[in-house]
Amino acid sequence: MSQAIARPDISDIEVEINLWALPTTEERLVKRMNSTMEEINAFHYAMLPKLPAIIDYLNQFQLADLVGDDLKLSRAALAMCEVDNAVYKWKAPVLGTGIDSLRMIKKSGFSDRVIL
Amino acid sequence: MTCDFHGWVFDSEGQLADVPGEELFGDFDKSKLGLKKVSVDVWGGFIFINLDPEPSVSLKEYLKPLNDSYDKYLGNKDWTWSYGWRAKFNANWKLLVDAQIEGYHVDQTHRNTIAGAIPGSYAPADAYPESIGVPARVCAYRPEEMTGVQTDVALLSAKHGATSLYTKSENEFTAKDGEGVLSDHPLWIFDAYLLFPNVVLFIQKGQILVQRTLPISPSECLWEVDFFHTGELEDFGQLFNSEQGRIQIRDVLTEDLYTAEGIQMNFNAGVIKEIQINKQEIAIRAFYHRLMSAVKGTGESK
Ligand SMILES: [Fe+2]
Repeated sequence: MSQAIARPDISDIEVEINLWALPTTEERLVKRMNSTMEEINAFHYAMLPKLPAIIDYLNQFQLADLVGDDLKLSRAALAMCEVDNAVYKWKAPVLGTGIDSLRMIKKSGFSDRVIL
Repeated sequence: MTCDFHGWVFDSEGQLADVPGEELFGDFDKSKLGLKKVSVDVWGGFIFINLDPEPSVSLKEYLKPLNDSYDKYLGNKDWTWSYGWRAKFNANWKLLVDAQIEGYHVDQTHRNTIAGAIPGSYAPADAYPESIGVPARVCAYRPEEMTGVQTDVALLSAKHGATSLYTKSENEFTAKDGEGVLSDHPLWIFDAYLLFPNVVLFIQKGQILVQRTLPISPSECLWEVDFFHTGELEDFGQLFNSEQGRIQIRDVLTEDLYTAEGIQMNFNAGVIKEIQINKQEIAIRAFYHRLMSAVKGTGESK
């Protein structure tokens, strides 16, 4: 795979990436819910300036080809979606006017019939 | 076909063909123990099961005004299930239906998420009093100028797809066979049809969303929501867009569900005896009108 777009330098935000690069949406949700607003803001504002370049860089690969440090970077980028409302709309780690998001159980398929 | 319980075997006509340990039973007539008949029909790629072996109306008749165009668009084999959630809620099942068929609540209920992206006044509704199975629909449009917060992350995601209902995408959706189904209005987002009694079907370009509720008791229900898209996610931009859309709708739904449980608590207190339904909530009126006719057993849609 040719790399037309160079990997952005993220050495200065590696600490934040390591904290938030969790494999699944659900794990990133739990991380957000259990974080303080200071921690969430620290991650968000560290990532934000580099996010356009990170997305452009990662976007040149097929998803299946994202491995190692690039896979980790992709997970940290996805965590930006998870914290977005907390940073800009709620100014709090958890929405006070919604049910606990963890009550919405992820389905395995349309006909998932696991007893709740 | 073999039953997983005791291994009874039925043939393709549903007749009981073989019973392990048949001699253990006394008076036993296999010819009378075939599978119970139900009616099955397909529309829009969905399989509908009717427990009535001889329904008085066909599925097609039931789903008017959803015509063949809808059948074709939704039945396109490119649609595949992408993700969904299930949950148990302390609310009457109808409250979860109500929340999805009117736009009047959006500005207030969703003040912490999407208010401004789909203002209540941009969600006109239509009732279909002649229809047996589709009492009403609500449509959603974006305002010319979106108010509310469009974040950097939302705008970045909008470059790579259109899975968020609340952010204007920079790309076109891909979804074939939409003629007669998809509005060509530039600000149109979705139409949500109530399939009586308990399904709300959201139709968009490039995304289908199905919400179903099932009663457990007067004050508890099961709820589930499923998303369908055309095609797999291939690159990271698409995944980022999908993640953004999925999280936005999740957070919005937590607000609807919170409200529904709050309404149920009020009903449980026994103080609220009636509620006011306005013109913008005409789909709710149509829902309850149809429901009352069904409960009375008149079968009338009007
Ligand atoms: Fe809502």
